[in-house]
Amino acid sequence: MNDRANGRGGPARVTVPVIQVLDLLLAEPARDDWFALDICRQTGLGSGTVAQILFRLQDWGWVRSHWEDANEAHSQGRPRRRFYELTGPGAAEAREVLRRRFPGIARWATAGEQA
Amino acid sequence: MTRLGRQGAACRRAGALARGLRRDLEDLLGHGLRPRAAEVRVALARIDHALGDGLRFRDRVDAELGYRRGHARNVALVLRRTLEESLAADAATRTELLARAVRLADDLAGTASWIGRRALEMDEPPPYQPWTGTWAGRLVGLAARLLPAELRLDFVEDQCGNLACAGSRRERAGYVVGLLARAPAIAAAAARGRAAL
Repeated sequence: MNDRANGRGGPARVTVPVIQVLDLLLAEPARDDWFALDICRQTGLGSGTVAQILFRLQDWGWVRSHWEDANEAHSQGRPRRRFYELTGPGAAEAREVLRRRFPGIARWATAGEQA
Repeated sequence: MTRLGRQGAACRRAGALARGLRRDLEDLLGHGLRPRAAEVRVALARIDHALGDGLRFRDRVDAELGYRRGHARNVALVLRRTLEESLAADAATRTELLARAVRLADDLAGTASWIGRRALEMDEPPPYQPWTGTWAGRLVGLAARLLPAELRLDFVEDQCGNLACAGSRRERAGYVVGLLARAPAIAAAAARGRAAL
C-alpha cells in the first residue's frame, strides 16, 4: 500500500517521531482522551514536535480531536485540553505503516505473517 | 508598529492609491481625455512602492493570502501594461484600454485592502482570557501568533490546559520552551491542515 493512501493527502513520508506517536496511540486504539502533555511524557518527544504531529495526523484524517468537558476542566481551575483519538481508517493506516516499516515485529504483523 | 502592522498599512495605502487611480481613470473616460504619461507613471510607481512594502510576508502565508498576494502582483503588472499601452493608443483603443484599467484598478484596490486587513488580523494578539494573562499563557500566545488567526485562541487554551496538568516546574518550562522552539513548524502544519479542510 502506498503511504499516500489517504484521500485527504496523507503522508509523503512518515518520520520517526510520527511513528513513536502512532505506536503509542495504537497501544490503546479505543482511548479517546489522549492529550498532548500525556503523549509528550509517554514518547519522550518535545511539546512542539507533538503539537506539530497532532496537526498533521488530523490533516491526514488519522486522528480526530474534541474539547475536554468545560465543567470538569474549570472545576479543577484550569483551561480545557483537546483530547485526541485514532479514527478507524487512521488506525488501519497507522498499523499498515508500522507493519511495513517494521516487518519483523510481531505486534505489527498481520495474521498469517511470520513475525 | 510591528512589521506586520507596517505591511498591513502599506497594503491599505496601495488599496487607497488604486481606488484613487480608478476614480481618475473614470474621469478621463467620462471626458474622453488622454491620460498624462507622467501622472500615470507616478501613480503606478506609488502603488508599486506600497505593494513592495506590503506584500513581503515571510513564513506566515496561508493558502488564501498566498493566492491573493500573487493576484495583487499580477493585477498590478497587467494594470501597468494596460495603461502604458493606452498612452500611445488611438481614441477607440484608448477607451477600451482605460475601461479595462478601471476594472483592474478596482480589482487591485479590493485585493490590496483585503491583504491589509488580513495582515492586521494576523498581527492581533489572541483575545484576553484568564489563562492568557499568566506567564505561561503569554509565552504560548507568542507561539500562537504564528498560527492561522482562527486557531490561535483554541491553541492557547489547549496548551494552557496541558501546562496546568504538568507535574513540575521543570516539566512546565520544558513544555513551553518546546512550543516556542517549534512554533514555525507547528504553524506550518496547522496551516497545511487548514488548507486541506
